[in-house]
Amino acid sequence: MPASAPEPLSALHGVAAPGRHAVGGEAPLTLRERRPSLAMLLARKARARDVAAAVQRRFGLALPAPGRAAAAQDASAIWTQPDGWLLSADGAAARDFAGAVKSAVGDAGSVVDQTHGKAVLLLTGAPARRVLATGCRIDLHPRVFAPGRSAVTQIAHIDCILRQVDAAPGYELIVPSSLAEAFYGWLTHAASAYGYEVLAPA
Amino acid sequence: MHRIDCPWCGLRDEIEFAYRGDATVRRPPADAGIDAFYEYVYLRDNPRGWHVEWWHHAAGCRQWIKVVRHTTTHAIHATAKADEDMQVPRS
Amino acid sequence: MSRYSAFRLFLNGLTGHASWPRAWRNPEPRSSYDVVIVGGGGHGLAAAYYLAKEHGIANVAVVEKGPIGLGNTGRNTTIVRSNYMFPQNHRFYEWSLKLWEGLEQDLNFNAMVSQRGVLGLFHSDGQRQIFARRGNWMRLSGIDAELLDRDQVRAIVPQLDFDNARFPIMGGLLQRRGGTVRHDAVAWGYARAADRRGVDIIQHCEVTGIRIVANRVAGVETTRGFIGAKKIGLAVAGNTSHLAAMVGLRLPIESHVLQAFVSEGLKPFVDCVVTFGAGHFYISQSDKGGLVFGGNIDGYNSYAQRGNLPAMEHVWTAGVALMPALSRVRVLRQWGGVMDMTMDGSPLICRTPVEGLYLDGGWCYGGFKATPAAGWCHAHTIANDAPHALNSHFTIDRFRQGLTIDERGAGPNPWLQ
Repeated sequence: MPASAPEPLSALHGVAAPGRHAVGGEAPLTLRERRPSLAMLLARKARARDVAAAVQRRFGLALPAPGRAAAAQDASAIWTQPDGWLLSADGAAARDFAGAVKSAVGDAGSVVDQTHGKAVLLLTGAPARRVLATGCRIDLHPRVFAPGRSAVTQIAHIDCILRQVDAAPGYELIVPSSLAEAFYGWLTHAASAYGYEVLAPA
Repeated sequence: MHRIDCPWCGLRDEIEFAYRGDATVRRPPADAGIDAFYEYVYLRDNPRGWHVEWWHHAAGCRQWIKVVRHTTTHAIHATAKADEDMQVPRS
Repeated sequence: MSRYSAFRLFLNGLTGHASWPRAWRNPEPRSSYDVVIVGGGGHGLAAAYYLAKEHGIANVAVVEKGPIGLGNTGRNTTIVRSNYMFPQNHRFYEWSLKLWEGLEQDLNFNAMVSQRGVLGLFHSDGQRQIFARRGNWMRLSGIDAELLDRDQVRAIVPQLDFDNARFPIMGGLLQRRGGTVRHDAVAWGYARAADRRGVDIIQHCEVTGIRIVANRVAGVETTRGFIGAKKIGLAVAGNTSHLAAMVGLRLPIESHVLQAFVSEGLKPFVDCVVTFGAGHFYISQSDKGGLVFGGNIDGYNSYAQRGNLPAMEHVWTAGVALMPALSRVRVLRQWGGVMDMTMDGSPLICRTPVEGLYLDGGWCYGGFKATPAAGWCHAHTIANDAPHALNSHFTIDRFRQGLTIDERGAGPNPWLQ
């Protein structure tokens, strides 16, 4: 046994190099890879209520309505389809997260671990909306899209789950890991007009 | 560009959807006979005007939805979930 | 009416080309005809011409709701070829190609038939096998086909990106006898030749109904009055379902929109027709220098004759991937045509359940190259009340019988054909 388990490789390993890029002095935009545990949860037929109750009991999390995201102490959730959510957890709660979700919902829902299936990027800063507008067809104006809102869409032809996390504004972008490098290339190209700083993964 | 109002996700661009044809055809019972299946599989009204059709929100909520769309103006009259009945405007 | 010739061109040049006679008459419709063809595009005019020429039936009217040749005949990308795999298809299209080869002499009209070659590209070993199989089937029927390797393709079109990461070019299937034809001239040539044999071409005459007496056609109701007819042939491209509905007929057809594009004029750059099927893109260069290109149908029912931005982006992206130099080319024009997509991707030239009513339609996006043979077969079917061997399988009933001719293997999903 090695002294410590090797660090899991992210799809963006070696791609997202920390540091300042492109123009600008104080980089107004930051880009950070996040590495939560992810689990897709689908309620089985006519069991959505049981699933919601079980998730509420186990994680203290109210599963969100269409177009919304919700967060609690140990887990958060994004609505992805009718009776379907993408759940995520960080820190200690991330350990065997999919297993924890499954044991909570039992036969009321199906759970698939997506931790390695998706890559998660956090884009924060005043120009973030304009950067995303070059490839995202969702109207992100604060009048219609605010913290707590989410969308399943395509950005630059790549499937993307989008969640606004704060009013900075900050957006979490969740893409298939096999397309993460291509997506990162598009995102940094779009951000290069403003200058951006890549932070170490968290 | 079609902008389709998904009953689950709201207004989205056409590129997020996959078209799946006439939503008024109904699969006949298994014992309905050759002619009924011939009509169901192959024959279409193909109207020049309002058309009730399936669109699959493939890059969104992955639900099949119904859309009433005009085949000469591309105007969209209404959208609905798959199990709802759609009314076609008179004109 | 006089024959066109180099001498007459010279003679008319002396008078500033001011004294050319009309190419066809503009007659008032008579009260009845032996045959009325609905649709004054290439197909309808060809059917009228071959009825007169091959079957001695000259008491024929072609009725057209607008000016002739401005439907899909004026909206296509002018490619002719016969490189199909199934014998039902390639024998028919080969007959069409043979008619194209003799067309200008036959019609005494310069249709600018240019056999510059049609090249389809492949990108993998599996695709090479499929192209080889198609080529072999063609050669067994006496149709020219050559399987080219990468270097042979490079010698013809060196400007392609041969090392594209997704679709590296490994070779192509070339039909040298394929090429392009000036689309408008096809309508004009058939119109003039049919007119000379006595056919009445009646423009601005829209059919509003088809009169049936005892399950037999009696004539057409039009915006210029009733016109009696012993037989009626429909050759209305994107409006086949609409006309069929006038006699209560539902067809295995959905109408879709296909877009095409023309660039600014450039020096000769693309010598043959290049088809990049895997990327949904094809291109040729017109004699004026414009690049003529397109891709797949938009993918939804439409009679709008215009498409949408996603399909444009798709076509242009594929074009630049194939031919990077295209990124610097400006598009001058873009348009859409209505495609009658059948449930198996193959056409209909047949009798209908109504006596005396015949159908030429369901051409998907390939009707232009079929123009001479479709008119020829349609005329044969009308004259004999029975199909020729070349079109005997293009019936409506093939769907009921399970005899679909699904070259692409896409099944009854017209938006995928």
